[in-house]
Amino acid sequence: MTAPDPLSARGLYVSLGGLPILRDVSLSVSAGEAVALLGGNGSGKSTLIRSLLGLVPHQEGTVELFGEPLEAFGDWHRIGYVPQHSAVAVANATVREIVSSGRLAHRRPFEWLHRADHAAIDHALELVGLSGRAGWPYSSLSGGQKQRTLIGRALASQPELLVMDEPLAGVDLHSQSGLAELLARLGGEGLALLVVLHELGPMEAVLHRSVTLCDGRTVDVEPSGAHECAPGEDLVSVVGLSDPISGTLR
Amino acid sequence: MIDALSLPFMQRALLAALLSGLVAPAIGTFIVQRRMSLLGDGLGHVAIMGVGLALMTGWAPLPVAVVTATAGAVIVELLRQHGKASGDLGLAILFYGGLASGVLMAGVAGQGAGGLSAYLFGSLTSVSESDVWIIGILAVIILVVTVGLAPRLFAVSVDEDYSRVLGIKVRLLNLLVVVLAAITVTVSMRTVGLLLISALMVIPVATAQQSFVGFTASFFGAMGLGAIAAVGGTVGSFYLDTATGATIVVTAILLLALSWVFGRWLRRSSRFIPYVEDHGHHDYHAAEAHDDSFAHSSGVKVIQHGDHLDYVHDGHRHARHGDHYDEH
Repeated sequence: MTAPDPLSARGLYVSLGGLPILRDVSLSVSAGEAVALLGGNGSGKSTLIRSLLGLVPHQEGTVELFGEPLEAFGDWHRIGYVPQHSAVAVANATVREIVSSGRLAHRRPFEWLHRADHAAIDHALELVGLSGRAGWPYSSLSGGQKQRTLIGRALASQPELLVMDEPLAGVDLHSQSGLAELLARLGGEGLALLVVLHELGPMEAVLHRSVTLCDGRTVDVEPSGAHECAPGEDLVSVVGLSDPISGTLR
Repeated sequence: MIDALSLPFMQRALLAALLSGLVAPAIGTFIVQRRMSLLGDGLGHVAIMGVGLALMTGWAPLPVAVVTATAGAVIVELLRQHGKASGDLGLAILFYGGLASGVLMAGVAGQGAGGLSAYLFGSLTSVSESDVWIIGILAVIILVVTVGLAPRLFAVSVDEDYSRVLGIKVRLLNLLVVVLAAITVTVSMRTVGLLLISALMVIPVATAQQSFVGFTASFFGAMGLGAIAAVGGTVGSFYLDTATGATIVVTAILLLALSWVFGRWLRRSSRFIPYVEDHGHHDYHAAEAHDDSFAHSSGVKVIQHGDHLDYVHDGHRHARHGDHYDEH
């Protein structure tokens, strides 16, 4: 018997405030697989990963994490979630303190850090190349280093599936390729990846396949990565209404 | 100092103040992180309703105020969690309704605003022995819960979504924080007073964030600063014959001012040099004639660039490289 997929969603419908966001979306990530979730702004990428993690309720469909229904899932340390670094508000904390939060999935309330926790934190810091900056304030880091800190926090729980929301957003080009190398190494160690991306960029070499969302539905994409998206065309035609030179509406 | 300590009422007041000084910044750290700095002030208003009710009925003020402030805190948090658009207005009605009904009930009891003032601004002589017991027990409970759950509360205050994915019960912890804040407010009403306790929850936290690097250091630093302000202010109010709460808060503000002044020299963050990863090849420019004193002159920003330091001047980065200088 094979182990169940880390992530499997079928027929997902999600609406927020009465507005349908996702329609009949199915997605799975098997062990050791690296999957990109692509799509334009407003296509529902972020809502999809948030509903896969139970942060947004879904109205129809099923989500299973490691073979368990989302509602009954309890082994949260098997999942590492990496939000966009701009979504994290830190007044005054060091890199190590933020990475340490990742160990909370292993600890009961009122339980202090054990030796195994310290070792896992050290290892996570080393993986993301921030051992030398463990005592630095998070606020003094560059965008790429902040993103690496959040990846380190997710790795500290020793997950089997890493879910990342636009890890390249707000990160300079040079750091982007560094992040891609890091993820390639993690993928090589058997970690399953689900990465939300605006464009493939330097991540292309890391990923096994991609799923593209368009207006809340998954669409078939040619291997080249080029795809047609109805709302995108709408957008173009709306833009086309105005004449950029004269500035008047046609 | 010796004569002040020999007075039993002063011993009780100092003990109560010390506990408030430790507890208020501990819970205040998480209130400030959640950008709810004025929550304590609102809960103080709701507690006034409890005091008014106690004066009218003849019950003990402290337990009644604990119950009303806790109920107020739960309502506040539920309004916030359900994201009601009218939450802001709801809070205002709750807070001012609490204040007005408290003053009204105190008036019915024949006490008026004068009877309330000991609770509003703190009063050394008003701390009874049974008060000290209740304050002590509640303060120990708050401290144990806050320090014990600090890693979780920290994770939630930094990133609620991530904490949910860790399996942390975020809503429950958020509710716990405001309930503990409500109890802290009422525990402190004899010493700091209901109108000023919010300051002791916020100002030492701001001072600590100025002075210490990292969450753990600021958390315990804030508790230490709060204890110093509370004890110092209590002793000061004895000799100056001033309202205890006001003296404590002014002491806390003086500590904050000191941290600003000395922060210019001690500013730890300047030790943390921004980092630019080395991107390999640089254009080589003819070196400018500089000596090393340049690097230490003021107004020059230092950046770590790969394996060496750059000094930013005149819009470009200047780096010493062996016997010459590179201009990046």
